Amino acid sequence: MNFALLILGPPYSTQASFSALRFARAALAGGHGIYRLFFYHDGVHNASTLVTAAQDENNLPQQWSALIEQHQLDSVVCIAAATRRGVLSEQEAKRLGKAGGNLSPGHEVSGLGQLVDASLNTDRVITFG
Amino acid sequence: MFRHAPYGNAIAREGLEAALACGAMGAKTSVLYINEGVWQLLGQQDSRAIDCKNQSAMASALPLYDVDAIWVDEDSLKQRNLTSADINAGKTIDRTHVQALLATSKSILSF
Repeated sequence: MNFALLILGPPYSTQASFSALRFARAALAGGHGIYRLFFYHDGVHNASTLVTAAQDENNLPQQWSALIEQHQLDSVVCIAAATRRGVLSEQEAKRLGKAGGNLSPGHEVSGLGQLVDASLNTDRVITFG
Repeated sequence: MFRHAPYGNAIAREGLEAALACGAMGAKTSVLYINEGVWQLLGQQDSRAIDCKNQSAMASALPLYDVDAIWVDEDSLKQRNLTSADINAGKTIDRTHVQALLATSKSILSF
């Protein structure tokens, strides 16, 4: 089956993004496809390099980036939701006159059209959050 | 599918923006208000006191984006002592119709 994941939950505050990450790993291990990860709402914080985990905790943004790189996944962070929450690509940061970007590797910022596209071109969209 | 009350959390607003995007992209879109989501449909919302955009006013844009299929779960209204007279958009449907709507939708986005 070909999935798209809609991740709405922030890292650490709720179980949502942990579950999304585990679901993604299990789906890929089971031979399923992941067409796209779409980070929206508070889920955009999963794509921040500034997130710093305690030593005995998983660093969720790092784990997402690693999974994306390992499986060459398409990952989109909603630009409107991310910008208002302070998750910016280098390019966006420059454009908006901010000190620096903090978008984790592997993600791109784009619009809600990418979510619509994913929902039209997959068997299932699974919402986390 | 809208499951949350209009204020207190941005999920309602951002869900609505996603629905508008679906309509703008020409995707055949139905909207379902269920559980706490039915509060989004109350008329006479005035969110200025909490510095939020008026969810009701934003939702009135749905038909302009060709999202005309607006459904409201009847049980959710009843559970909250609301009736179809209290809401300013949408058509109430029972649980059988809600199930049919979900079963026949190609994909479901849940906010």
